Amino acid sequence: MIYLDHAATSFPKPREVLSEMTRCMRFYGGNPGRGSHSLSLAAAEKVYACRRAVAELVGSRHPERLAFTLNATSAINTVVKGLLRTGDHVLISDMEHNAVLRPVARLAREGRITYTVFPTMLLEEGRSPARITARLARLVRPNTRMLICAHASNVCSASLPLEVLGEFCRKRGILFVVDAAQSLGHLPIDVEEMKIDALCAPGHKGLLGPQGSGFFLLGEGVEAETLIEGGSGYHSLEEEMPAEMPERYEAGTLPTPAIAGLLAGIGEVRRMGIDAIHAHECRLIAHLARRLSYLPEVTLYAPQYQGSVLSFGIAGRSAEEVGLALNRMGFCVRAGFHCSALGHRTLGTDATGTVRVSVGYCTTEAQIDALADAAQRLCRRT
Amino acid sequence: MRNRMNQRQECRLTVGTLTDAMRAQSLLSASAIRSEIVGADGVRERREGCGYALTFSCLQEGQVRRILREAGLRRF
Repeated sequence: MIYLDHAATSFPKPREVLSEMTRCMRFYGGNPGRGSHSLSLAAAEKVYACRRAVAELVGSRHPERLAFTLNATSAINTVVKGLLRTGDHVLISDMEHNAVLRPVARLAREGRITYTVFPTMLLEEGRSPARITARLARLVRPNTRMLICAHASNVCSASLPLEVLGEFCRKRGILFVVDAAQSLGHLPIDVEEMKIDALCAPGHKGLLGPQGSGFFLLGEGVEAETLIEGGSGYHSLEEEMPAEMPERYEAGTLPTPAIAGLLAGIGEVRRMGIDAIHAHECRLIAHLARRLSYLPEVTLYAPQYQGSVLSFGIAGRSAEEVGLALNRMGFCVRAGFHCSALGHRTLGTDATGTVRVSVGYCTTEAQIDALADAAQRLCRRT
Repeated sequence: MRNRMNQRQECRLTVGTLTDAMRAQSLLSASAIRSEIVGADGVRERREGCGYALTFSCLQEGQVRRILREAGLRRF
């Protein structure tokens, strides 16, 4: 099989990730923070090493402000529900994943908040950071407390100018929350320079870690309510969760093997270099776009953007049909709506969905050529 | 800050969270100060901290306090 679904999860994981997870479960699999014996401490040391690695990767000096979660969705839910108060207004972009839309929409449905979808001008001529913020400025209300946006779309390769949006929010006292599910490990992120108040990301995508690893990083002075409560390993006689980060948000046992694997994955990302990974992925997607553009039956969606994702459709065939046919021909691609109602509405594909190809660090040009050849064969059959 | 000196001139700080203990150890290590994270000693230390303590040579106590204070680790 040729795996081209890295936007869902990176695969295969580097050998180093598998080795570290095995080492964890064989040699240091104690419960971190739950005892003073040597295996508990060894596990805690690995967890802390991972906090440091993530913090360094995103330009934070505060590894203690990073809390591990199951995935980006649980991170976003904690941040959104933990930071917003009754009466707040929220801005979300028109290319958000359901991980952002659904928690925000639920709070709105319950009458606790209101929200507005702001345009990212994905398909407009003359799109620029200044024009995006000019439109955004008209949507800000006196009670706007938070702006949430994906750094990069999961439907196409478009991304948002985080530096500009961060500055926009900081000037107005708006919390700036970033969903980096599709960008971390693919694009550089610096939470200080970009003025990000809360960064949410999975460990199992661009950071090459295993599923079950994710996190959020809160800026200094940003305090959220907890979403779940339980054992924290200390202050065990008190009813309240501890006030300190990160333990406040990490009720229950952490997935140490997943975190150990994530640490190894980050090591691989650093070894290869984010810029080199990004350049590799852009080259492959541009190559695929060029190959598919010669097929008159194929429609490409927002191919002008450079990145690791390309969505397309084939005339006369549904996205699901193309996805299934490609699977039978030996390819793993994603077909349908990719959990992004807003993204598809923005691209104009909310009636049809798309076939999404997403590449990663280990994808080769030969694999892309094989996919383009397969698409060509499918077009001939229509 | 709570510290006690035992007969081997080892100082001991009760820590607020295990993450802070790890951070402190990392900061001290960067200044070539050897420290160790150990289990809390007794019920009182366990109740006041996170169940762990940081130990180091008492000869370096002043330096340790300064490094941790400058790093904003005020929970010690």
